Amino acid sequence: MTTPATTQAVENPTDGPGGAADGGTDDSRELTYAESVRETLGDLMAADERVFLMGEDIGVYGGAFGVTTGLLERFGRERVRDTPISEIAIVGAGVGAALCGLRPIVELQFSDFVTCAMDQIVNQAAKIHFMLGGAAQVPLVIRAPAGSGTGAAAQHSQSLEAWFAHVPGIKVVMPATPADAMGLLRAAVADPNPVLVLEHKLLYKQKGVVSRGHHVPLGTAEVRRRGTDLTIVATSVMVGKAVAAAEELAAEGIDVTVVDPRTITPLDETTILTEVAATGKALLVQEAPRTAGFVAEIAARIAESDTFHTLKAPLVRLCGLDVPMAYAPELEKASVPQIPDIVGAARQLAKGD
Amino acid sequence: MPEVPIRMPKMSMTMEEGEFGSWMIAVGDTITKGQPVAVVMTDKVEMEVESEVEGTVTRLTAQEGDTIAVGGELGYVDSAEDEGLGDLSDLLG
Amino acid sequence: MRDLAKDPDLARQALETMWTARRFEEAVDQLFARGLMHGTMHLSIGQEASATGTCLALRPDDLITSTHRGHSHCVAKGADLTRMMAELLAKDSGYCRGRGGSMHIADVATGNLGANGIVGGGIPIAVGAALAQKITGSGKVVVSFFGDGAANEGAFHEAANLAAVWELPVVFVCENNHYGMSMAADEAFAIENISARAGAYGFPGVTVDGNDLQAVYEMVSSAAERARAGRGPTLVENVTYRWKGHSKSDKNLYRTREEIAAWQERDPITRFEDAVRKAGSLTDPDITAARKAATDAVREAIRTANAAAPAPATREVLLDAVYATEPTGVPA
Repeated sequence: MTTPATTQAVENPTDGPGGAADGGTDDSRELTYAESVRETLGDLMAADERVFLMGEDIGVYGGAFGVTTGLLERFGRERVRDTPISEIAIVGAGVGAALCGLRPIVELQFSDFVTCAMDQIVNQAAKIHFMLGGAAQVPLVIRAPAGSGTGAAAQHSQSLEAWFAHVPGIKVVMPATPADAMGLLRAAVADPNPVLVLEHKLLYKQKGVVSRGHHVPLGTAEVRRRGTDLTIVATSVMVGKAVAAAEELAAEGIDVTVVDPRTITPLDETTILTEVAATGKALLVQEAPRTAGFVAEIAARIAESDTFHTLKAPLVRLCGLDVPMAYAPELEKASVPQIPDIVGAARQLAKGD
Repeated sequence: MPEVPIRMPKMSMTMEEGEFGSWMIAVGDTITKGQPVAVVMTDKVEMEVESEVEGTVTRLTAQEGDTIAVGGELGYVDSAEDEGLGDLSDLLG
Repeated sequence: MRDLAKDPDLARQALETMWTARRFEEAVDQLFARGLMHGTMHLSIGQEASATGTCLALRPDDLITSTHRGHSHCVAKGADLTRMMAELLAKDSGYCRGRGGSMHIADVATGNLGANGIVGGGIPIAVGAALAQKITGSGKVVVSFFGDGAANEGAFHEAANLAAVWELPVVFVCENNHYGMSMAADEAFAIENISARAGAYGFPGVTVDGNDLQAVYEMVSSAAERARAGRGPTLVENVTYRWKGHSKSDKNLYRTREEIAAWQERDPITRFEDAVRKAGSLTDPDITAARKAATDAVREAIRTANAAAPAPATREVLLDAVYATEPTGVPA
């Protein structure tokens, strides 16, 4: 799927603080999302000896999705640490090491396993800075593969960003492109707060144009495509689907804006409200189940702002069904929005039926 | 020797007052630190009040059925001088 | 290994520390009873030798993680009493600026990475702190305090195992005071000594009379030495007893007055005072002076803390407190 990458190159990746410090070379290479993450992990570890990795099977095995392949050979066992199957200890040790001034990047093999480490994420990492009156910080990054489409079924396919959006003290990012995977990871490691990086599994093999050292500030949305008839706000794997849907709709004369929040918390509300106000119609798309999902928060922010008065139609949410993720491929596909679903919903919204 | 009040203690996170039940001691008794001296009712449960000081009981003012706020005075003890913290009232200006 | 009772300076330091911890808790007990402290308090009266013996065995720059019953750990590690009291009195000058309360007091400057409101929550954090010391080669040791109840939390098991396989410089100090909240340890465990669990993970565990200051000091000293030498973790189980209930809402329905009284007869502080008298290192007036110094220090802390300003309660202050803002310095 090259459209998002092309759009990315046209729009010029955002250069934030630290952008000047990055490689800055204009090498337009194509890397996969997984390769982008791998390169960035390597660059960060090479640049700062405080950065180290912990997780299950990240060393010799190279990570369940191959993201950390080669890093053990390059940096050794002290900095690329395979752990026993112990999510509480993985995250907790990350908290302790971060408290003591190191910069751990821990990996949960599937984002569904946050449940095993919830106390350390929610009650410890997210709250220590506040509870201690600012006397300490937890600069911990937690990376985890998320989402459905690989037949991994209910316990290995979830999109749980809404849970953490609801916890003050932790930040959440969902990079949708290789360039953003690079840039947001860099920003996450530079941030003194705990950051959860949710990488959709289906995106790992997606190729995109990247430039080494790219930095994307947290809390900045990206307008992937600008149109006039309606605004789609989509997260993670839905961004690419929304852009593809927009291309189809363009042929019908329906011109669609696609906004990618990139960071879930802190949310770039301004960009979203501006782009929605510009068209007066909003279609909010997420893979996660509808009820209490994150786009409900986006909907609330639109509805409670002045942007409400610009709306020409009710807000529309297109989300996963409120079901656990099934195993069978057709069941799995039917459980989450697909490109035809986005096209249909957008067409309906645009035409005012 | 200073006269020190026996107070209605806060016995749970949400308690704001208690109902006085009965005394387990009499005026003139010598009591020790930690000794149970009264029974009060709070949140429908009976609880014992323990003395925070050592000394001789001088006055018992609370009566059965009285509703007294947390921190309120129930009775008084002539407290023996000891190496403990004392009443703390002088620090709480 | 020094004999604490025989060394006049150490004996005085130990007595002052234990009495300060005791008086601090008594003061909290009284102030809470008066309605001047919010929330609840988990008092460690009766457990002073465990906290003091452990911290005396550490160097000033060694680290600890603590529990919800952490005031005595904090005192023993050298915390400022006024800042502790101010925190409990919800003042802006408290350790946590009134935002943490009793269960979240930390003094990063003296190596106390914090009390914890989650049973067992601090154990993996201590292991992470120990990992950081190993990675940086700092030579520091981390003590993880936890109770008998925590030894049944998954966090304990995962952390113990990880510390063992990575040979981390951590000393697990389990303060077995015979009760979780209301559940007796002999109902919560099918084993006799919690220290046996260390062997299950491949490192030494030892059970100690936690009310014997010298015994605690010696055992933690050896464990710290082992850790510092790169030989990995140890579990020291300090058997002790808490005189007061689990929290301020505890009606003590699960134990008898007689049991409490029996343990109060074996007060760890007066026991050490007897050892000191027997050793002849301090006189009775010295011992009384140590008690008085502790009492005066706590009273002074109350006076100062009580007079301080409360934590400001504005929306802006609260929202600003959630996220750290200084970048980590990792080249981005």
